[in-house]
Amino acid sequence: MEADTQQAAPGLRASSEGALLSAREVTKTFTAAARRLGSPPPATKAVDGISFDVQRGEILGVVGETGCGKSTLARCMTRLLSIDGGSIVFDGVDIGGLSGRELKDFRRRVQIVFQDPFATLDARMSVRSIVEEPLAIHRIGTASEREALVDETLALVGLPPTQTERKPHAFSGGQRQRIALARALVLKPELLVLDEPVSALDVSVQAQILNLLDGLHRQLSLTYVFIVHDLAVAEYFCTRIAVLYLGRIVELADARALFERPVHPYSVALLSAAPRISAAPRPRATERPARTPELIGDAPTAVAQCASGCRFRPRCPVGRDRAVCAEVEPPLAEYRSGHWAACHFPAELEKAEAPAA
Amino acid sequence: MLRLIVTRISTAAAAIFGASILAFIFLRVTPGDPARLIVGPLASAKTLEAQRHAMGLDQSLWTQYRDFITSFIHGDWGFSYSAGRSVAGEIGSRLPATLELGLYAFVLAFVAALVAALLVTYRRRKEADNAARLFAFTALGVPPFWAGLLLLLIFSEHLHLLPGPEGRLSLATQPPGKITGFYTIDALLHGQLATFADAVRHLILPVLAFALVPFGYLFRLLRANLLEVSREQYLLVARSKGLTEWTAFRRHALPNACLPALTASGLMLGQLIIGSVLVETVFNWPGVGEYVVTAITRQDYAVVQTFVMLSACAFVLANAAVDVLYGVIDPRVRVSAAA
Amino acid sequence: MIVESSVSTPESDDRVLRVEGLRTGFPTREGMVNALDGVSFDLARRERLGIVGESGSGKSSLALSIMGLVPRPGRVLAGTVTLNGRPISRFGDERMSRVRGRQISIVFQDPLTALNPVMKVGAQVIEALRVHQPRLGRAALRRRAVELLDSVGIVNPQRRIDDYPHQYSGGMRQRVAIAMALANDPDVLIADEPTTALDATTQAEIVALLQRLADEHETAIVLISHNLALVSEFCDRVLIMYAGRVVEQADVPDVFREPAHPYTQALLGAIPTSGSSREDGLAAIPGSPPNLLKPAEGCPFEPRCALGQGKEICRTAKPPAVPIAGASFAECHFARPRHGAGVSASPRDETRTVGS
Repeated sequence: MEADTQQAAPGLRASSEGALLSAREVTKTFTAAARRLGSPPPATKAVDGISFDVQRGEILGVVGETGCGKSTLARCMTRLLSIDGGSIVFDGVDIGGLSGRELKDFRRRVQIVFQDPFATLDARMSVRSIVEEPLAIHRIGTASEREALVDETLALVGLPPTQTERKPHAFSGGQRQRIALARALVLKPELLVLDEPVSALDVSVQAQILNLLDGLHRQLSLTYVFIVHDLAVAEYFCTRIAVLYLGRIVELADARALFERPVHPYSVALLSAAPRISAAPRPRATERPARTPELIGDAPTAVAQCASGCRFRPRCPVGRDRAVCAEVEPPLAEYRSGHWAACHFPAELEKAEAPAA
Repeated sequence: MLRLIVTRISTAAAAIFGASILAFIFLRVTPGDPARLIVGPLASAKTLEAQRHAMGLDQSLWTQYRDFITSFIHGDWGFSYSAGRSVAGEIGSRLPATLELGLYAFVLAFVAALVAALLVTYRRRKEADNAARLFAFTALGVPPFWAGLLLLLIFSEHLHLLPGPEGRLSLATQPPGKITGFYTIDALLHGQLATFADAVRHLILPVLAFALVPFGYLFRLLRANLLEVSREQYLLVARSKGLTEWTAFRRHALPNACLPALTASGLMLGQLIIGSVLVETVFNWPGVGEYVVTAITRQDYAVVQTFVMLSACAFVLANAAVDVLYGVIDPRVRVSAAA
Repeated sequence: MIVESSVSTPESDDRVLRVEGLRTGFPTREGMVNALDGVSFDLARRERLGIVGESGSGKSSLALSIMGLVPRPGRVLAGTVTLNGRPISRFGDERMSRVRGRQISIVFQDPLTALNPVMKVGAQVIEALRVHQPRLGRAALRRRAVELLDSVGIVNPQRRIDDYPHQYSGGMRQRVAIAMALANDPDVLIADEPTTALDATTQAEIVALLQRLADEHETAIVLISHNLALVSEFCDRVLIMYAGRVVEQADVPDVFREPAHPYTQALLGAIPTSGSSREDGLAAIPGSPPNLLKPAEGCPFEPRCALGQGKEICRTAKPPAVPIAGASFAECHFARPRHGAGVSASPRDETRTVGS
């Protein structure tokens, strides 16, 4: 890690004390099937050197677009996927080496909730069985104790106790997500990874679930890693936010700081692309100039990666024509206290970015 | 694309190779001495030895297999003593009969299945749909020879509408001069309308019997595909562009629904070309299937061996051709095959 | 309940689209599901109208009903749709197909399923052109298709016109869908959640594209979305739908500053806004979406309404469309006009309920 001390230092208080989970230079590569006999098959670096800490009790938001690697990262953090490089340390223990009993313990303490509640619940199991299954796997309690735990957890997520024999399809999207949450919480985990938990829900239901998640966070002293694509939700809900682009963190800061003064050109573009509610009187939409997004060109797929330099350069209004951006990959460096950005020219767009009224 | 063709052909070759081994071994392990059958039970040991030598049965298995493969590739398929001529010759002369029956049956099955599937999916009517599905389900389960017998019983025996099991033509009719071997086509080409009519009358029942199972299968497949495709968003988009419901359906839904049926058809076509031994037997149809049945009962093993090889080839090549055709039509297949 | 449009709507005499009392239902085993329960609104030339609602509000059924594309066995039960003065809701499929894609077009939500996967992209764009301009020759069609692809921002259109859909990304396919929809210069474009399936940056690009093209072609746009922020940026007027009805209609700045209907207020309260944070909580709307099988006797929002829940009048009587200002209205017993007598009940403060 010596050559990458600049990378490793980030965000990350120099030591990982107090950090519940620490990721250092995590890489995960997916290999496509061989295209031609002889030549190496195309490899996709879904996650390409990500380092960060998750502090106990915080809600770390992860934002980024398709192909940025956030879902892969979520699966790596929970060891649903094994990583190809780097390390993930949970409560002082490297999770890569876990097996058997220790791995099971890890699974009790780190849980994950996915985006599509219908796809992740077994349609043939009753709600009760779904929520009880983790207990059975970890051989916790007797049958009656488990029943009590299931009831307790269901009450915690706001599901009526009378419906537990029904199957998932009898419930609405929001309720199914509560079931998924209950399943994750029944083991009393410490860290909950939430992969776009509210993206598939209506606005009103989203609000309910967010309130619920907030309540649970306080009540059960949980730590969240919250993957989200709706920036308004991210700003509202998270303590800190990491912005991902093509497998790397490009900016990492407190939520408020990021939204008030984003520093990396990609973050600036992302934030300006999100529409905002404005109640101020203004000219008719038909007379308003169309707001042109900052980015140039279509989002590249992770496969077509630049050989050198900053991976955002081809679309970056700041670095497109700059030599240093083409040659040197910018390390994640501390721009302001607690605010990290991987950019050679951070905050150059700050003057141009005028927040909407 | 090239990659697709190459992979399919090599897989086909491997399959045929496997079939050849099976064909070869199968006949070597069946009870009965083929040489003895030919020379008869009264022949002397010396005659038997000579016969065995002539048939190459005294050679090592590996040599026999090698000879078998080489002669097969060269078209020398041995001598059929039940027919009294070379296997190749006999099969060659009988093939048109089987092909005529098989191809007409396939076309009928496909067209009928398509029309029926269209009728029940384009304008959904519960009763018609249920009736069609029931019929298809039954058709799928009815053995062709049983259907053949039943049809003969009703239409020939009782109603005297159609000819009985007398083969391709009435005894009095002369076959048309051979161009393709298909009596229907040859008769038309020669302008012999009476002969044409007679050939058609003799084809009706066996084709119906033979087409039942493919119809059942294809109907269910096409119906399911059409239902699925009619729910596709791009159909709605096509209509939103201004295409009428039928045009959108015809241009966008139909081809995509038929595509999976193509694969099934490939399998079916392979089977039909080989011929249904039992249908041919029931109708006294002078095709390859009937020939093989006789050969089996008479232990004319050269025929059986050849037939197994030919079946394997027909089957495998039909499948390979369908796969390649699929790749021509559906560009996504080309991408995944190359991956 | 039709609210007469007064002159405050610009070019109000020039209404390109008029919907009156539209009702659409889907017969099911349990009965008729009323997806639309009497929707009325106007659209002026070049106007940008937003339609906001959640699942079950009927917004997509509205789009399909206007286009005459309601999937069987559903159908339009009552009401009329008039386009450029012609009663298209009475047209059979044959006549309507001449209108679709020519005077009124639609772009759907999911770009990944909008194109036929075994047909070249160019061929599908050309199809959109050829249906309504049959006299164009092959060369002219191809040229026009290339122009269209270029106008929606497809790079290298001459080469990409012969590609297949799977070679295009989601954002690019949506651009193609827009190109096909605008191919014949329609007067109205309905965009049903056009950016929901796309990334934030792609979303912004598509929206900018729509704005530019709408201006160039002078097309009126109906933008259907559940994203209030998007609608606020893009549209001039907005309809809020609930349970198959339009419960509020207002100009965009007004509706976000002073929403008149409790549902709109609740919806706004449920969205995290810039500046708020977790500690503030979100005003979640209690209860669940309405049962469209058995439409309520009174106001469909009553069971969840912070203002009207339990109230006799709300439970038994359907609220009238109360004019608020100009052409804006709200279907609520407690709504009051903005100017003139009385202040609107300001139920806003009462609706802030925090809880899960």
